[in-house]
Amino acid sequence: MNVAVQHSSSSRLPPVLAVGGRFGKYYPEPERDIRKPDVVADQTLAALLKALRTFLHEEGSPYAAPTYKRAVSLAKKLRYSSTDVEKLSLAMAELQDEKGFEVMAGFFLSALINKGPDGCYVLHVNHLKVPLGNLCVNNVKDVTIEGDVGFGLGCEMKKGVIRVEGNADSLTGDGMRGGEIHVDGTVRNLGQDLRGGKIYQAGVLIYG
Amino acid sequence: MTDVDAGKKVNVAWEKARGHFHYPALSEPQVVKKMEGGACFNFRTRETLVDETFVARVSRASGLSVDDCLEGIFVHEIGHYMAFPRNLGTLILAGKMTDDFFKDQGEELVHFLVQTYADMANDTYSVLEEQRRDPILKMRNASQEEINDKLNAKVRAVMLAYLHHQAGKPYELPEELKPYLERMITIDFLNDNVEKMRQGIWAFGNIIKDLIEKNCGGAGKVSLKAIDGASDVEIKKILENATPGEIRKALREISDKISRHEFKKVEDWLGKNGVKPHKSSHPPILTIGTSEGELQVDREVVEYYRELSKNYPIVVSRKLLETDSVVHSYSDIQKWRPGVDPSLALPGTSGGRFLPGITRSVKIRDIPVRTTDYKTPHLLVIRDSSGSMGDPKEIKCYTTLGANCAARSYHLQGSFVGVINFSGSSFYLPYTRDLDVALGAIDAYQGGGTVVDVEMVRKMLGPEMAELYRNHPDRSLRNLPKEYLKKEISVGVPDDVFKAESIDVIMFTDGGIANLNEVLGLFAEKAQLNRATIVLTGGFAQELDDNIDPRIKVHRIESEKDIPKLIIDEVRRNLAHFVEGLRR
Repeated sequence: MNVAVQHSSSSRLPPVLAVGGRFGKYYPEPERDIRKPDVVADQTLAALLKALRTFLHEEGSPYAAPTYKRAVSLAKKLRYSSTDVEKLSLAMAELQDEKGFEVMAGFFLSALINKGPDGCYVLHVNHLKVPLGNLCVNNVKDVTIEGDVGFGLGCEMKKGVIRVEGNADSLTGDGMRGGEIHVDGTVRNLGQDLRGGKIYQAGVLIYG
Repeated sequence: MTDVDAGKKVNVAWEKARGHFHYPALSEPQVVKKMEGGACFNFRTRETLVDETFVARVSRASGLSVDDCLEGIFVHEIGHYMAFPRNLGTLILAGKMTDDFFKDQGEELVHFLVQTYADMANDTYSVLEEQRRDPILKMRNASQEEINDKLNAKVRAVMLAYLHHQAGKPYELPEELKPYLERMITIDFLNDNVEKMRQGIWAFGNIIKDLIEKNCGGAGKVSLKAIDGASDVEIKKILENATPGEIRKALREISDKISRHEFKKVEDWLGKNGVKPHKSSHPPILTIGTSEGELQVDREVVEYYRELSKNYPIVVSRKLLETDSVVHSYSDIQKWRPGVDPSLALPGTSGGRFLPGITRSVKIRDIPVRTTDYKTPHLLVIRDSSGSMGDPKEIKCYTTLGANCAARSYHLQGSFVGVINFSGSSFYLPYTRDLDVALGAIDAYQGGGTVVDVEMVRKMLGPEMAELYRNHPDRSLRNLPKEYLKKEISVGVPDDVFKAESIDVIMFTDGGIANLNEVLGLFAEKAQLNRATIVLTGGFAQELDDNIDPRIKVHRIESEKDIPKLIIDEVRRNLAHFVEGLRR
C-alpha cells in the first residue's frame, strides 16, 4: 500500500500515518439549486375528469336512457367550453382502465356536448385502447371525432352533424331522427329504427 | 482567431457543457463551416455538429461571447440526448402526435412544432438546474436579438418568458402575449408519460397556432424557424437516415407505452413517411393445422408480442436437478506412443527416456456419473385463448404478453418450451427450442369456451408426453406430417425433457374455467414438483380466489405495470429461500 509515514520529531512517539493527506485534493461537490417545474393544473379539466370518474364509479341503471340522464345531470353542474371537452377527450386516457369505460364514457361526452355552450366540438379518440361506444347520443351539435368509434354512434341523434375521421362500429345511428353522420372510413352496420337524418360512408350516402 | 484557438474554445465549451450533465458518453463535437440550421445532434453517431457562421452571427448580433454562445449551444444539444427526445422512439411518437393534431395546418407548422416542442422540453429541463440555467438563458436571449421577423419574435418571446418563469428569473413580456404564457404554464413538458406528452403537444401546438392566426392570419403565410434558428430535431431527415434496425428498436421503445391500435397507426404513419419497418421474410400468416380446422396466427402479431416482451425480462430461478456429468479418472496406465500428450508420459518407467511402446503414460478415462446441479427447468405454458380473453390481434392482451415474456425468458436460458393452448378444445406444442413456433402457438387465438384438458397437461408434465405425441398428432400445434413426429421426439428432444421435475408449468388465464376444480387439483398436486403457477388477468379472479389451494402460486396481471411484479415476486421468493438456507 502506498502510504506515507511521517516520523514524529520526538523519537518516543510512534510514527503518525499521513494517509489523510492523500485526500487533500478532493473537495466537496458544490451545491446546486434544482427547481421543480411549475405546472399549473387546469382546474376545469380536473373538474371534468373528477365528474367522469364519479360517473364511471356510480352504480346506475344498465339501460341507455337513464345512464344518459345521469350523465346530463352531472354535466349541468359543470362550466366548460368546447376546448375543455376536447382536452378531456385527450386526458381521459388515464381512466380507460376503469371498469366499463368504453361503454360509459361515450354517454358522458355526449351529455357534455349536448349541454355545452358552444356549437362545434372536436374529440380525439385515436389514442384509446378500445374505441368508445355510445358517442354523440341524442346529438344536437356539430361534432368532429378524430379516430375510430365503437358501437352506437349517434344513437337517438336529433340534429347537427357528426364527422368521424376513422371507422364506426355497429349500431351506427340507432334510432336516429335527424342530422347527418359522415364516416370517412367504414361503417360496420347501421342501427335499427332509423326515422330520419342521413348517414354517409366515405362520402357515399348509405342511409337517408 | 486561428483554427487551433477555435478548436480549443470548442473543446473547453464542450467539456464545460458535458460537465453540466455529469459527462455523458458522447463523441467530440464537429465544427462545420456552413450548415442548414445552426447546430444539431446526430442521434445515430451521438455527435454534435455546430455551424461556425451561426455562432459568429449570434455572437455579433447579441454581443454574447463566442465561449458563452458555444456553451449554450452544447448544453442545448446534449439536452436532446439527455432530456428530450432522448431516443428515436419518443421522437417518432412526438412526430406522429403532432401530425395527428395539426396536419391540416401544413407540413411546415408540423415540423416547426415537433422541433420547438423538443427544444422547449429540453430547455425546461436545463433551466431548472443552476449549472445549466445561465448558458441556456444567455443563448436564448442572444438568439432572440438575432431574429428580425415579427412573428418569430413573438413566438420566441412567449417561450423565453416561459423559460425565465421556470428558472425563477424576471422577464418583461408584452401584455398582449401574457395569456399565451399562462396557457403554456399548464403544459408539463418534463412528464415522460405518453398521454401527458400528447396533451402537451396539443396544448403547445394550439398556442403557436393561435399566435400565428392572430399575427399573420394563418400558418401558410409565415416562415417559421425553430427557437434557436436551428433545425436540430428534423424528424423527416432523421427517419430517412435511420436503418431498419434502428426503426425496429424505436418501435420496441414505444410498444409498451401505447395501445396496440395506436402502434399500428404509428407503423402506418412511418410507412407514409417512406420508412419501412423491418418485416420478416416469412409469409404474413402462420397457419397451424389442427384436427378442428386451421388456427391462423398473424405473423405481425407474433412479432409485435415478441418485441414487446423484450421490455419485460422475467427472472427464472434455477432448480436443483439431476444431471449427467463425467469424472476424469487417472486409474490406469498405457504404453506411450508418439502423438499421445507427452505431459501424460511417465519417463521414469523407461530410465528417464521417451521410448515409444516402452515408456508408460497415464490413461485418462471419463467415468459418467449422476450428480445434481442448479439448472433452469423447461417450461410448459398453458395459455387460455377463450373468447373472454380477447383477440391479441385487436387488443394488447396481457395474458399473451405475459406468456411471451415467460417463454422468451426460459428460452434465453437454454430451456425447451412446450405449449398447451386451450379454449373449447386443447392443443399442444411439443417441447421445442424454436422460439418462433412456441410464440406462434401461444399467440394463436381460438375464441371459444374454457375447458382445460387436464389429461393433456398431466401427460405433458411427464414421460407420458411421448405417448401423447404418438397417439394424438391431431392435437399437435406443430405443423408437421405425422410420420416426422416420432423422429422429432427421438432425435430432437434430449432425455431430461421427459423428467417430470425438469418442467415448470405456468397457466395464463382469466379464470372462468368450466372444470376449475379439476384444474386446481392438478395444480395443487404439481405445485412442488413443477413449481405450478397461475397468472391471472381480470375476469373471474374472484372465483379462483375462493377455491385456491394455498400451495398454488398465483400472480395477477391487470396491466403491463404488473408484469415486473411477477419478477419481483420471483426474486423475493428466491431470496427467502436463500435466507432460509443461510439460517440453517
